[in-house]
Amino acid sequence: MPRSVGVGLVYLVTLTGCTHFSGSPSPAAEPPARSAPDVPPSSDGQTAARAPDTQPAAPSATESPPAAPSAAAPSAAAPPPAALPPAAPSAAAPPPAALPPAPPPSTAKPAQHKTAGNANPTSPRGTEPPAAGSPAGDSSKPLPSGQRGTPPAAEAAVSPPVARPPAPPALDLAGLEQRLKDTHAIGLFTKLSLKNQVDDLLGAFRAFHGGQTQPPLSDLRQRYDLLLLKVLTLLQDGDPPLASAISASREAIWVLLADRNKFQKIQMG
Amino acid sequence: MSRPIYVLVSTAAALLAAAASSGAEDASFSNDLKATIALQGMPCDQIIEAKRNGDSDYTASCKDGNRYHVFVNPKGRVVVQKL
Repeated sequence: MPRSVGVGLVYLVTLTGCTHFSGSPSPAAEPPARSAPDVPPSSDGQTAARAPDTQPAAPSATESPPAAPSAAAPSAAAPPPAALPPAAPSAAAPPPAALPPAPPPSTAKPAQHKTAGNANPTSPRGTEPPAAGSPAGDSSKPLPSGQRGTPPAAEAAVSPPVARPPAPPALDLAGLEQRLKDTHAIGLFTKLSLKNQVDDLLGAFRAFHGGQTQPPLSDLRQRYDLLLLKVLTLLQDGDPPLASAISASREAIWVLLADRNKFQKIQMG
Repeated sequence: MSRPIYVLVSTAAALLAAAASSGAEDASFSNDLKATIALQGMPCDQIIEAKRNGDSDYTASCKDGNRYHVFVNPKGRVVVQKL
């Protein structure tokens, strides 16, 4: 009888040891799961907190050690539901995990800001395209300010104006020429007549850049504007997309015509 | 009995379609001539008649009474002469 009791005790001890052992790894596995849940609470901050949101992942890894013991305690406290531990701790973990992280973020925020300086340039580029594209150059400057804390909002306020300007439409002369040839909005006679006038204007520019004659550039600009007006008038009803494309390229074409080097390149091409 | 009727109807439809397309072509060509005349800086409110003299050679009569000789010269330039 005592032997059987002793064997039973030893068996119980080994069982409890196994359950305890199986419980400890689960908390270790929890931290990564907590790092994910950590994101929603941090996302409460929305725009200002978004940059930190991505960063907490790293801090959460550092937080996991303190959180693990707290989770290990409940798992150890509930040895009987050995089959439950995986589900029970995971289900129970989020609330405790959500609670403890709340204090750590406050303590971690300063640490995050240190990493935020490093992580901000990378994380925003992935998450916020508008702010990321323009402030690529800004990121180097704002970084120190980002470490101080509040300036991220200032960065966002500064970045938009920088992002808006870069949108010059690429000039596709060959494409426009082909579209003009293919359009049905202009008849053959009219196209030929327009081509004559374009050739005349190109001749005037050639003479201007060659120094043979010196018509003021303002006169050439007037002729250019008038010719474009004719083309746009002919296209605006029959082929509005082409009309708008030409209208959008007006200044770019003028730059090509007015600049001697660019004009010569066009003539060569 | 139904066959001749079918043939008549289809023929009439074809004629109507051809007339409509030719009318559209005439309208587009009249607009082409009108635009060409306007591009040369000459007045023409509406083309009422366009007589073909040869390849790329037309005589256009405008509603306002103006008449023009529109043609492409050997150099490839469009010329509009007031008649």
